[in-house]
Amino acid sequence: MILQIPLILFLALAQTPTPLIWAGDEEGGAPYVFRDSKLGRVGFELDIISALAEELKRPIEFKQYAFDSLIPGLLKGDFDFAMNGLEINQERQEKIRFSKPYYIYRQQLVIRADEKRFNTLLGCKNTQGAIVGTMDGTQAERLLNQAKIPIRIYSSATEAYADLVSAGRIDAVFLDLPMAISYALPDKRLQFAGKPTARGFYAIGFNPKNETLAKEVDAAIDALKTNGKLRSILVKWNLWDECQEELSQGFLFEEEGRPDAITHSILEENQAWTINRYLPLLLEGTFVTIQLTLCSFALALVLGLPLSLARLYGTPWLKSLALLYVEFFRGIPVLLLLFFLYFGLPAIAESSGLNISLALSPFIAATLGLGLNYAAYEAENFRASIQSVPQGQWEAAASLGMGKTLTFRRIILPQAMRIALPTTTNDLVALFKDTSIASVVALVELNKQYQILAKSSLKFVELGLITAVLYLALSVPLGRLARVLEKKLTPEKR
Amino acid sequence: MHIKAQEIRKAFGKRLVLDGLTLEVATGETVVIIGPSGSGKSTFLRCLNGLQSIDSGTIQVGDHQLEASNEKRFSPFSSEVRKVQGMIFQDFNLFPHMSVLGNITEAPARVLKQSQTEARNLGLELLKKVGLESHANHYPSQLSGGQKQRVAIARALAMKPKVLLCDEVTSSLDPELKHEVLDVLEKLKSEGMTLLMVTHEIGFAKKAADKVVFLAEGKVVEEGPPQQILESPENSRIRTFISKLMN
Repeated sequence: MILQIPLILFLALAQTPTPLIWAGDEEGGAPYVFRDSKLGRVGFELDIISALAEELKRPIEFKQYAFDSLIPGLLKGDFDFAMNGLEINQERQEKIRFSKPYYIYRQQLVIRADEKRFNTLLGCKNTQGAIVGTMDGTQAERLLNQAKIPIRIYSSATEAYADLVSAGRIDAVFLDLPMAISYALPDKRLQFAGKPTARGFYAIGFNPKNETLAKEVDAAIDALKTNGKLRSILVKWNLWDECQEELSQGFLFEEEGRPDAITHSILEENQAWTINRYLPLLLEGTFVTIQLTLCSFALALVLGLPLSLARLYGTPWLKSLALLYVEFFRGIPVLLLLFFLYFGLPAIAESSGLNISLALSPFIAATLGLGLNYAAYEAENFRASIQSVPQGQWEAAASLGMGKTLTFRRIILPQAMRIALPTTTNDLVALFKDTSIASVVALVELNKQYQILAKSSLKFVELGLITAVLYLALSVPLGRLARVLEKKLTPEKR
Repeated sequence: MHIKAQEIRKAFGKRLVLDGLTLEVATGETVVIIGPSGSGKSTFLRCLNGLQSIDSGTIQVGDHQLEASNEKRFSPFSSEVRKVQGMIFQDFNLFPHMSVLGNITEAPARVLKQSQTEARNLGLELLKKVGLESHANHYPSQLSGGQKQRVAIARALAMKPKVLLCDEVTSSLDPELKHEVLDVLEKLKSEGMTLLMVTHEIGFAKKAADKVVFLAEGKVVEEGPPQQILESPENSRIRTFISKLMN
């Protein structure tokens, strides 16, 4: 009896065809595919997938994948297809095979409800200091760049709209209509500015080697258009509009081969992207990385020394406070700290009714986060170094009549700094590389700039090499600087 | 400078290191303390210099008084006794990040507030005295053990002490380097410096000491002129100890 169960299971499995794997990013992904606290995973793309699975008579399983990495993952063969609001554009078309489109997207400008200065993209451009939030690797970002409007890049729509509402760090958000419908429309503090613009197509991405599957899915999409299922899904999600009528007129996409005139012109511009265009942007990112490294490390050193002194010589109270600081900041991930400083503080200020804005700029938030974190490490480094200066040094100075403070300053600290230096330098290089996580607070430093450029051009290898060279060009001299400093601080070894 | 230590007691935890030690050193006298290891010799010198607290008893160095105090509240930096008393250590304890001259001028310049030139001239003069004037700009790591100890002596002398406490100052040195340090100390004695030394150099004690003190278990067992203590001591332990040292 019991032995039969595996057999039955085996038979059952043998009858179901192997499931297809679909990749998307459900992190802040409304209304495409996202996590609802009650319903679990939902989204209009999930509904389309279910309908497709029915047509194809094959189960389709979801695989969580970072949006940025969908195309590389597809080419690597990590999954069968990618579907996550992928816009058809030429760079992508050169790498992957697109299905027939399942949605015609447009871009929607969203502003605060009390915005008086402008209500169009052009008006925004002419408003001094106005910054528009968007997501990287999107058509919206390209359009804004093309229009030379100052932008701030977020990695999810949630963060962009949240920053517009509460922190006031940006003045508008320009993103795909579905996102605006899902995040901004229900929010009374926000309003749509003007009509949606700049049409384009969402389609499913396949590995070009997988033409058979792509053809099957194309046929299934056609079927969903004919039997009205696609329409009812889009209606259900409040995404149906007159634009979508064109979806069923398949010829539009196939004949022109390009989404529409606006996207077309951007594409042409993008084709002209060469090293001359990438390099200045990468250098700009490098400069931000350097500034961030220096500022946050200075903060770490300035905080680290008093902390180590409090740990060593403070009153019991001070000692435990310093220990608490060290344990706390060493124990939490920097990423969490940055997120909290950037998104959490404004929310706290708002909910507690404080009349001050705690909306830190990305640079300040990143400097604070990295500085506070590294201060904990430097405090421990300094403490260990101070302790490793032999006791005899204290006694020799005391026997010469030198006081405690004088002894510390003149005799102990210089020796401790020499002992600390190799570790300090190591930490500096580590911090230099850790600055890359500042991209979570919308700071475009070198690594982020690389990701942005690579995603829009899909030149991952070429740009990756240039970026690596830029990092090395800084970290290697840093190591050398450390050796020079070490020599300077050890005069007897010259 | 007169030193008078009375009934000094000092315990580290449960271990009693100084057990009612009483000792007097007259101005200009050279006193050598000998005794087996663990007898409390070094601890006694450190207590005299205020580097270590004492549990009970009194210490008088010239006009300066060292009181018994709680070890937890004790600070090795507070003692006034350093105004008249210098100390030399077995391991030299030179400041490795400062030049030889810098080691010597540091305290006069920062504590006595001498001008740079004043401190420098004094430093060079003292280096000449210990025979190292050509090494003023060297760093401690570039010196031999004997040279390091001579710099340490010059560094202590820069504060113009009346008494020098020497804690096994030749124990870390190779035999052929010991004499250069002992020669300097003999010269200081002839200039009237009060010296209190913990040492195993019996030859030096015979030649230069005015008084030899044998210490065991934190107490003075016997004291007297070198001939008496080193050649015909009353206590048989001293004889055994000295014959072991000679071999």
